[in-house]
This record gives sequence, structure tokens and C-alpha cells, in this order.
Amino acid sequence: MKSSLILKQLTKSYGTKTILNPLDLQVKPGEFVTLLGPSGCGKTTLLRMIAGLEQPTAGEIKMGERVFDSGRIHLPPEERGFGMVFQSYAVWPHMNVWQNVQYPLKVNPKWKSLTTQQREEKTREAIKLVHLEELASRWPQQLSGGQQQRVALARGLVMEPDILLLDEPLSNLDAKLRAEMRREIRDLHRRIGITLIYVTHDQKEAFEMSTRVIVLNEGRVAQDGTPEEVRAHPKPGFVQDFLAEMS
Amino acid sequence: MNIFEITLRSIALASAVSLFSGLLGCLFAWLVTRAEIPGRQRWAQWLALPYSVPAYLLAMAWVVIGNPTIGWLRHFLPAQGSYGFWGMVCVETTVAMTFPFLELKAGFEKLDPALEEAARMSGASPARVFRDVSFKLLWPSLLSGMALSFLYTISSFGVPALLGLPVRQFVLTTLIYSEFKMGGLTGIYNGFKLSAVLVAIVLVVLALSYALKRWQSRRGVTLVSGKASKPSQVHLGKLTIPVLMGLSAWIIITLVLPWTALGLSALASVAGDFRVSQWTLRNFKTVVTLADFQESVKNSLSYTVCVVLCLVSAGFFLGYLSVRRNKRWARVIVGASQISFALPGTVIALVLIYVSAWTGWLWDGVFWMLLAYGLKYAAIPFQMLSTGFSHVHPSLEEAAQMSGARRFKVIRDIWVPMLKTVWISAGVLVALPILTELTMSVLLTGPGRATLGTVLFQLQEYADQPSAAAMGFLILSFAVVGAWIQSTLISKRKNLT
Repeated sequence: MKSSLILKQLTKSYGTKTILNPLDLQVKPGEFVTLLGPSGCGKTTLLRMIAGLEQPTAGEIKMGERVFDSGRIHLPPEERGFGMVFQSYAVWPHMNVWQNVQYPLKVNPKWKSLTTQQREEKTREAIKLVHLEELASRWPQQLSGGQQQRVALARGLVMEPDILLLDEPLSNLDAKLRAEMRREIRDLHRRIGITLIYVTHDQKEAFEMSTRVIVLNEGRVAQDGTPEEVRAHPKPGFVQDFLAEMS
Repeated sequence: MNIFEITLRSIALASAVSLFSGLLGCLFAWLVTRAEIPGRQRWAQWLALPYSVPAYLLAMAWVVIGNPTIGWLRHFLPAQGSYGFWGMVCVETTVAMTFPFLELKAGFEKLDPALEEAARMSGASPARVFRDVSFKLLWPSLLSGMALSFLYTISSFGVPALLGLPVRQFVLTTLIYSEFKMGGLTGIYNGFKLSAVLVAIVLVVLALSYALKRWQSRRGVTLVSGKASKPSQVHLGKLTIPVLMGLSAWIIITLVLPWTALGLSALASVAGDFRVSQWTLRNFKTVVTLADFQESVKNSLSYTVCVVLCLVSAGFFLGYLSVRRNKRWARVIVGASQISFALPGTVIALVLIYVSAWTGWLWDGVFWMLLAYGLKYAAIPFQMLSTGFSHVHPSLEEAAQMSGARRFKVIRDIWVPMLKTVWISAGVLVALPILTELTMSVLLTGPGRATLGTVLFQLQEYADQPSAAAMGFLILSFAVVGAWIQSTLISKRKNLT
């Protein structure tokens, strides 16, 4: 039985500047949560804290019995078991598609016991999941932006993470590719039922793909609800203005 | 003397220095860019400081520290003390380490942090991330830094002269100097023969570096993402204190200890007796009242001002013409300056002596000295200003033109003030090595042309070591302060861009 991710009074500040005010949040297994908001609202910082790439100033991050951050405890990213897809794709240029996707299975202690054959089988499955079978031996420089993003997705999924974190993964793609990738990510979520936390400033992405939308403003949750609720009944003030501006 | 053996020793010395420099540079660059240590910027500034310090001053200090009979650390060192091959390796490494350090630091700063973070998210430990991602992507920067360390060491004269000659361990540069000073046609002929060997080695290394750069650009790998976020820092945990102690020890060994050794030697009334009761300012007084010293200060300052003004002005216009006006000939001059920068100072000086003799001009004339400095150091302002021009968006110039400004006014009102910090820091960066230059000066100097470097070398080698320590202490203090100002200017410039 999978547990929920729980954030308790999570805070982040740099010197005197507060990026994230005390925030409470619970993400249930299988949810597709989108953190939506304008630049500088703290959504990427929040995602990076969940990933373990940033240390919170105060508060707690835990999942069931596993405490990731609390007081002096800070579990490094490699020990959290989360996958991540970056805005810049971060596909390693010195490895081909196959090697990129297979890498987590080689280094992650969770998959140390796999035989070479099992590892290859899992890699093949992940590549198939994102429809890149034909391009497995290609180098990143030979791929388009959309194809590189698929490699990053496959690499994030191959290790069967508890949660997959996505940091504005479509913002570097053109409109046509973005629409195509939106469909693919939504289908993937439906097919494999993985928990996704997705960061974007694009409400179209948020409403089209997710099961829950959290609107952030100046480090605070401005509204939290299903896409239908947020779209139909935006809270007066910031959320209403932000959604109106974006559309 | 066996030329083959001396060539091998020179190559072995340069190889050992570039190997140790590569290892240390790699470690330090990773620590100041990726590890969670307090005051990373300051550490980076301190670690890069020896770049602007003349290595022969450090060698002078290590003569005091590691002297086999009276040195402070003689009990911890081998019988030869700081003299000999390993002494040269250690002292050269303290300066040469800055080349791979700076190359790799720049590499880490340009590298998209997401590439390393993606590996950590995949489950790789920081050590594994370094091995599988950072190193695999940055090894060309490491090799290029190590090549610079190699070229620096094989061209170096001061350190082998002070730590190698007393134990008759010649390298190519010191043998060229000895042959030339011996005089006569045979000496000059031998000097040229050895210079040819030195140039051949330098050209091979340059060709390899060039091939590496070509291969890298053909590979077409883009590592820069536009830097959306700060790289996450690796928490060192229990290792934090030992790492900070190690960094402090390095700064103490490379800068504080040599500076203290020169200072105390200058204060000692009797060589080797460092008791406070025996301190005197006599050595400082002797130096500042020395006619040679006064003349050398005047000469070095006037030569430096002259060369810096010429190079920075030329660099400004070449940068403008090559980047903004796309003039091929200007790009060729900027590119050629890189080659003369890599050539050993000894070789440049010998070629100029030959040209001056051939043209019939006086070889000890100031002109040749200035030309030698110009040839050796032109690459620094030429490259820095060209890069500066390429970093400024063309629309800023076009906006001035659209406002009605003519070309000269655009240069005066837009480019000169916008690139102020670049040309000032380029000037400081050129001024420091010229002011204390030794390698070319010892060969080109003549009556009335003494420089700080040559007077110091004469004092250390032949006349008065306590006075040499006093002079060395003053120059080292000046060099460290100058280097600090220059690095502060550079960090300000980075903040602006």
C-alpha cells in the first residue's frame, strides 16, 4: 500500500527573502497534481525541495514512515526514490538514448539485484512506453526537443519512482509538440497510475492533464482544487486575475 | 651537458606539474562550485590568487623555508631540502594549479546543473555523479588546463634557476640562459639549438590542444542551458571540517608561509636567526636606498604603463573590429596573439636578440624589451576585450546609432563606458606579470635597463640575500594586493553581465 506525500509547515527563505511561506500539503498516491503560478511564486523551489535538491528552511516532508526533511534531517535526492524531468531535458550528451534510459537501473540501489537481461528488458519497456524504439541507438544531438523530452520521461519512469516530478517539461517545445506531449503525459498517467507533481505557468497544461490544480502566489497556496473547480470558481482576486490574464 | 637528458628532465618536470595541477585543480574546482562549504566565493578567490604571483618569489621563499642547513622545515624534507626536481615540482604546482582550476571552475559554472541533478535523481551518489557525468563532460576542460600548466612549466625560468641551478639540475630554459651568458658564438648557437627543441615541444602541445578543441566543437555538444536554477550543493556532512582544514592548509602553504618566510628573512639581522630581538628594518632600508632598486622601480613602472596602454588600446580596437565589424585581419591578429602567449619567454627574447643583431639595432634598447612584453602578454587584453564585445548585445550600439550618434561617438559613449571594468581588469591582469617579469628581462636587460625582476634575481643569486628577501616581500605583498583588486573587478564584471 503506497503512502501519501505530506508537507508540513514547509518554509524556504534565502537570507531575509521568503520564497515559500509555511505550507501544508498532502499528495495522495496516483494523483496528478499541478503547481500553477506565475514566475517567482515559489513553485519550482517547492518541487526542488520535494526532490531533495534544496533544503527547506523549516518544516517537514515525509511519506508514510519515511521522513525526508525534518529539522536537521535531510535525505539527499539519490535516496528519496523520486524521478524527475527537467525543463532543459538534462539528457546526457555523452550517452545514447538506451544508455540514458538504462542509467538509473545501474546506479540506483533499489535495482542493484537485477540481472543484465532483466535490466535490458526494463529499459526496452520504458523506451517503448514513450514510443522511441526506433531511436534507441541515437545520440541526444540527433534528436528533436520533443524526442529528448521523451527520453527524459522514460529515464524518470524506468526506475518506477514513488513520485515523478516534472519541472516545466514542455516550456521549451513549440506549440504543436506541446499539444502532442500533453496528450502523451496524460495517457501515461492513466495507463500506469503513477503519482505526478507537475510545475507549470501554463493553465492549459494544468487544466488539460491534471487531477488536481494548486495555484501558488508569492509563496502561498492561493487555491487548491480539481481543474473543473478552479476553472469554474476561481477565487476572487489573484486567481481570477491570473486565469483571466492567461486566457 | 647532455641535451637529451635535460630535455627529458624538462618534459618530466612539466608533466609532473601538469598531473598534480590537474588533480588539485579538479578537486578545488568541484569544491568551490558544487560542495556545500561556507564562503565558496572567497575560497575561489584565494585559490586563484597564485595565478598572479610570480613563481620565482615563491621559490625564493622556499629557499628560506626548505634550505637543507637553516630552513624551517628542513627536518621534514629530503636531504636536498626544497632544491632539486621535487622542489621545483612542488613550487611550480602551487602556481600552475590555477590553470586547470580556473578552466574547470568555468566549466562547472557553464555546465547545466540539471545534467548532474538528473543523475542524482536517478540514484547516483555525488562521487558517482562526478565520475559518470561531470568528469565525462568536463575532461576536455581539464586537459586544456593541464596543457596550460605544461606550457607554463616548460617555459618557466625563475623557479628552475633558484631551485635547480644550485644543485646543478638544469632544464631547457636555465641551460639556454647559461649558454647565452657564457657569450661567444658557440653560446649563442647552443642557445638557439636548445630554443628550437623548446619551441618544438611547445608546438606539439599547442597542436594537441588545438586538435582537442576542434574535436570538441565537431562533437557539437551543448552543455549550457541558460542556467535556469542554481546548482544544488552537495552536503559534505562530517567531511566539511576536514575539507575546510585542507583548503586552509593549501592557502597557508602556497601564500601565507612564503610571504611570512620572506618577511621574517627581511627582518632578520643575521640570516637564519628569526628571533624578535634580532629584527631590524635595515634590509628594507638597504633595498630602498639602493640605486639599482630605484632605477628598477622607475624602469618597471614606465615599461609597464607604456605596454599596458598600448595593449589595452590595441585590444579595444581589435575587439571592436573583429566582433562588431567582423574584420578578418583583426580576428587573425587576436588569434596570433594566443600563439605568442604560449611561446616561452626565453625563446621570444632570443629571437628578438637575433632580429636586433640582424637589423643592426641596439639589442639592449628599450624598444626590444617593450616589444618582448607586448608579444608575450598581448593575448590577455586582446582576448578579454573581444569576449567583452561579444557579450554585449548589438542592439545597444544600434540604439545609439538610431539616436543619431556617429561611429566615433558610439565608441566613446557606449562601448568605452560599458566595457570599463573589462579594460581596467585586462590592464591590471597584464600589468602584474610585466611589472615583475624575469624570464625575458634577464636576457634583454642592459646598462640602465634594470627591472624589478632582474635586480631581485641579481640580489638573490650573487649579492645580498636578506636584501633580496626584503625586496621579494615588498613585491609579493604588492602582487597579492594587485591580484585581489583584479579578481574583485572580475567578479564585479560577472555580476554586471
